[in-house]
Amino acid sequence: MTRKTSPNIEVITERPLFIGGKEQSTNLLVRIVPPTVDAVTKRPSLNLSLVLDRSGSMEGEKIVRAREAACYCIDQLMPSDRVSVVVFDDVVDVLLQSQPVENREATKERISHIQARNSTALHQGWVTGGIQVSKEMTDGAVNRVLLLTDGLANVGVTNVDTLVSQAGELAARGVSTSTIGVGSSFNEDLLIPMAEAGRGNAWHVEKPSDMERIFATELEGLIEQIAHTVSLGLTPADGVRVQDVLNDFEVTHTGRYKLPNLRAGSPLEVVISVKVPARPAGERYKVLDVRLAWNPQDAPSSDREILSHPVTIEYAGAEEVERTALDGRVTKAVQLLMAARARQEAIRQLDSGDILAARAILGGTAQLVAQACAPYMADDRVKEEVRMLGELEAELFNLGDPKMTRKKMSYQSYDLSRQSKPLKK
Amino acid sequence: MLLTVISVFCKLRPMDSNLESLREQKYVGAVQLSDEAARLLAHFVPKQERGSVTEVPDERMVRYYSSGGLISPPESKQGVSAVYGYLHLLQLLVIKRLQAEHLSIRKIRELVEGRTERGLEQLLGLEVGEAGSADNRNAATEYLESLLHQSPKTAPAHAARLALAEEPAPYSAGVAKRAWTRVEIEPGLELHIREDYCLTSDAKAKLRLGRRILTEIDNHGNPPRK
Repeated sequence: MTRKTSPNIEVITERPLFIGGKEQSTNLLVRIVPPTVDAVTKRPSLNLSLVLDRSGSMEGEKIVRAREAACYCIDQLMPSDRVSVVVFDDVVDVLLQSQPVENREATKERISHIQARNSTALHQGWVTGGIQVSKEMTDGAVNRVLLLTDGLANVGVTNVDTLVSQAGELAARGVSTSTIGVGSSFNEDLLIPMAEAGRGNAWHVEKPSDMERIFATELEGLIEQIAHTVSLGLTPADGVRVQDVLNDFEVTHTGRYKLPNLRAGSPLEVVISVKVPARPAGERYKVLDVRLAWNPQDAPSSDREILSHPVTIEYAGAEEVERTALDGRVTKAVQLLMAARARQEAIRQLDSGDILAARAILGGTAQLVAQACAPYMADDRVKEEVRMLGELEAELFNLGDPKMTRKKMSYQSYDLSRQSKPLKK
Repeated sequence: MLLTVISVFCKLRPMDSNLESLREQKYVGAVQLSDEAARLLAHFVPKQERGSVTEVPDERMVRYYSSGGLISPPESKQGVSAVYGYLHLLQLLVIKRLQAEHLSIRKIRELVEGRTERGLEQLLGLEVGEAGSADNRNAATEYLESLLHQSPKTAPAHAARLALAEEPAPYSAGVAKRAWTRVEIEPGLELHIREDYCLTSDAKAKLRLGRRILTEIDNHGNPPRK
């Protein structure tokens, strides 16, 4: 039985036909399409912990905006939601124990007194917030810790691998983690993997004034969430080889790809590069089984649903294939994911001190995207991508703040590969 | 018979901040009420802030807040003593908790005034009306608690200095605020030094001071360290 909230799978090939009698490499666009927002009537209840950094470096506009954003968050919640507030510097305090959102004014009043102070016990703060959420876990709720920090973990557990693997362990037990990095001094190589392993979202606050929009987008995403613990399995047929998944998703121990949570109204595009065998023209051949598995948001955590989708292609004569049109959706998806990878490469160059090489990669990628996507320049995503690449290149050229540019690249790459929800205007 | 002493023998486990068993409790006189609040304070006021919470609640404080309307009038009189109940205990604990969060007396009054027992319990972060949730053991909680026990709790002593603005004592309103510096000597032990404090230069007096501090720590409920 398919639930009302079940996603659909569409697989789109570069061209509708493949050249017969020839082995060839091709990209397949797998679109995972959740139902629209209107089709999902029930909003999941939220069980959140806001874990806020009040270390000394948060002083000034950052702490002011963080307090405002947290208060905004309280305003958006419904009385049936639960919230707790944890603040940390070198020590961790539970400012507000997990409770239903009833006394909004009292809660906001208390948040408005949070002051910036000492060093950063990020781990213990996160664990404490996690406990606030885990003690109140219910089936169907989105159980999440929102960790906001501007600094480096320097008290307690500080090892990146440990923190990331613990966020993964906690997510496997039903509590997800989103991270919000503020400014240019935190460690994006911690906060992005932590959110990925934690099955939440990673956000970067470039300007403190963005903080409220980020909270708003995160909250909206939580409300739209229809599935979590989503995985994609690919079983190639004889003679078919999966060469690459351009999104660079993490792979589970069972060889499946870990996908982000599914949100109503937001399709997820995955590009798979495959090598298909030579088959005679006129033949239809099943090349792949795509298997999507997920936990529906509104069901007990033990409920897992699976959808299988066979992918069959058709071979034809070369001339006939030439006459068919390229599907622009595949081209765009491929270009955007390659541009995400280019940023990772630019980061590697930047880390090795070669700013020129990083710039060259960004410039070259901007050209490639513009060329390949020339027919689709009216597309918002393409326009935005070309603009962002130009901006990154200019920032490296002007020798602004390379740390900030590195962060932008990390987060843009992350957003492109998993198609994060765009920030609310 | 003037006094019927109502005993206050309810024991709280160290991490148990459930006040359920105190709902029917009565306190004869401000001393009993403030003693009870003092005993429970540690459960509700964040550790770091305790130094700045002004003092542990005492009799004078109860009278001061009563006269200012922050604590409701007593339930009844027993002879010359006022009889207080659960509502008063909650009011006193909430005032202390909010003071620790640096809320002004005016704000605290807004939050506390007219609030029911349930509302006050919520301000204290007590679980309200959802039976069983305290027993909601699950894999996530167990995992997180195991992490807390593993994680090194030491905060570097040099990093743990900060100035805390002292709330004016309730009975000496108008006294200028003085800054306190908090120094962590070792995990679990902090020293608070007021800005105008001067250490005596006399060697014997210093020794006496050291002994007094050690005695205080020894008497602090925990078995003395070996």
